Amino acid sequence: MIDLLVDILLAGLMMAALYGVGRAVYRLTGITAWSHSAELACAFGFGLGTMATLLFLLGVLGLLYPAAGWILLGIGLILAGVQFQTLKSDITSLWQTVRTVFAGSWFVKIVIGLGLFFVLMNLIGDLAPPVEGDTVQQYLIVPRCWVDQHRYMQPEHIWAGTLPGNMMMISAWAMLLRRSFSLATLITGLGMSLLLALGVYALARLYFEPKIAAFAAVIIYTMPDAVYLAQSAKVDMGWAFFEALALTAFFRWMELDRQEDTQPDRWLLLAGIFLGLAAGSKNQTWISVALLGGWLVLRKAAAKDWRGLLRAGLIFGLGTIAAALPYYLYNGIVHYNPFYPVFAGPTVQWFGATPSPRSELGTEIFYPWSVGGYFANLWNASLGHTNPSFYLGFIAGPVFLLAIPIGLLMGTFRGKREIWRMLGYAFVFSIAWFLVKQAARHYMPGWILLSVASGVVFAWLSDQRGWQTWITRLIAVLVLLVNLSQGLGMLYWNGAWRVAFSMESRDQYLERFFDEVAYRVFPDWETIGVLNDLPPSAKVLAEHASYPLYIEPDLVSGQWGMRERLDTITDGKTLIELLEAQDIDYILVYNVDPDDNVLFTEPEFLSTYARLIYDGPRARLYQLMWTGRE
Amino acid sequence: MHSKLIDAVRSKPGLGHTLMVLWAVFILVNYVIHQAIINWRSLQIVIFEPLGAFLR
Repeated sequence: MIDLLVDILLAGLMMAALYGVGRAVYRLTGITAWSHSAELACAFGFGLGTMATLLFLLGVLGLLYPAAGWILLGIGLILAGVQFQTLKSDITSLWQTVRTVFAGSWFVKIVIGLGLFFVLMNLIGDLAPPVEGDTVQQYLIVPRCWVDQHRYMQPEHIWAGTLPGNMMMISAWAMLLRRSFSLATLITGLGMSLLLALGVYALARLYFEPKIAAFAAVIIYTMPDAVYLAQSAKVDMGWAFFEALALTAFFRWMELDRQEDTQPDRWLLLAGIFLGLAAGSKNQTWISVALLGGWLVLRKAAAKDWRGLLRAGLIFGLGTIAAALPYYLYNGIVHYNPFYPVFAGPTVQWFGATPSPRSELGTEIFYPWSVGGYFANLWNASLGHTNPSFYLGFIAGPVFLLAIPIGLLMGTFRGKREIWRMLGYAFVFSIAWFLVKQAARHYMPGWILLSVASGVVFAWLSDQRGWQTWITRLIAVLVLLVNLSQGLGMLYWNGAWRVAFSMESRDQYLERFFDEVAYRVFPDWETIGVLNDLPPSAKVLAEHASYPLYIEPDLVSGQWGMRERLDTITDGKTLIELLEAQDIDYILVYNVDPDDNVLFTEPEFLSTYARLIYDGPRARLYQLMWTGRE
Repeated sequence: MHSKLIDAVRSKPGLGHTLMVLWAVFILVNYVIHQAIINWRSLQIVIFEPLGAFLR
């Protein structure tokens, strides 16, 4: 129990430190926002960007020690303390908003209440050790390597090692403060999900009353995909927050640019900076850079304002590049490819760049590139992907599909130019999303804008009288409840709630999870124990390098290897020479593996080159017999 | 074109609201069906198999 409380306290302090730094930076910028929420959202954006960049610099200098983490926390908290009056006013304003919005109809109360219940559910989920696939195989293991080695480096055996790391740096900061993966999840999952809701709220407040903004924030927060991400340490929630801020600043710029009576340049620069910070969190942001940049060009070109185009383009572009620079510059220098592993194929040919066994492009394309495929993806990303032969992750839920056609039909968007802009941009983005990566989480910029449009419809519904709108409101609540059931189902499946209610310790939870819940191509608790008894510097090759976060030696996957595929090699001698060159000492083979057809798991290969050192109920461990290493 | 659609809907009293309810029901039913298909196996494990074992 103490463990959990310490994590909650530290997560709260980290958020307060982000606030302190961000509020200080906000003062320096001299910008004036349109609402308290916008000030707060921008401040958190600044704080997050500043901290992540400072952590990267500390990492490059080899200073990622716990003391550095505590100093950063201390600085943030001191800055928050110095600005106590502002903090007090922010909290009061937040409380007033909640009270005002909550005083609305039963529909408003239920929807907002459900939103708060989702927050509680995510908190409960995050208190247990993370078990989400990408979190335990990529996004927490990379910062674990940084913290272990006290520096920024790119572990070769992990695919995410070279990806933009703003959010992974925030996870590393959590690990510097306390070696608790739950703390990292609390901040990178839950904390960032709350900031995303704040970002959407601030965007909606640019044009609308608090009720609409509150609906928009709840709509984005209650997406099943947002629940999944909030209960992980994946980078998507923080990335989406920066995208929301970039969109907000861009829309603000368009407003001020039209009025021509204030200085819009600062907001355009902020749009660029936030987009750069988003790019430093997830490289998919370059789609947003291209689309928002294209919008800027079209806007200025339509007005035949060529000088304005050059100026705006420079401000937006330089802001983006400056904020995105750290990880792309590092990759450019080390791999001759700023986007590595994306575009690895052509850059190897053109510049002799580092090769990669996998590019990010095209890895999540399941629906055919056709008009029918586009609509099938949109439909199923809202309701559920029913084809079990592929996996596109969690869905967005049908709120958008429910609300936006109603808004169009009932004329709710009439005269609201900003909503048409949002819908238009979301549509264009959806085409790029469909062509590049089809999982719902990659469409966050679209969901952000659609949340605002749906918030307008929800507010309209809440103000209407008559049995038809009553039924529609009821259905909207039912839809949110089905969304909730998916989150509760996840908690039931993995039993994470047992940790929050102190019915299990975190170790007991992991033991039960691995022995009873996890599939049989994942290690059981006994196998994890055996692997953890190996020297920590050992490297273990496995066809399914599952859950390496809980295993001290490096688990090397056959598909990625050390940036060279090992599961496609068919010649034993070639393979063993490669394994020896890469210092891979062990091979882990699962007993139940119907797809098992790779050379390094075949009995003949193993009997020739390895000896069995562990034969367990779920897996066998072999030690390779090299010269002098038997 | 969008204005024409709204005007056409508004020209017949109650049409817009009826279509709205039908659309909402359609979405909800589809959502439940999709989730039922996806979670069928989960339901089997969580409810039907334990229930069957209990009844036996």
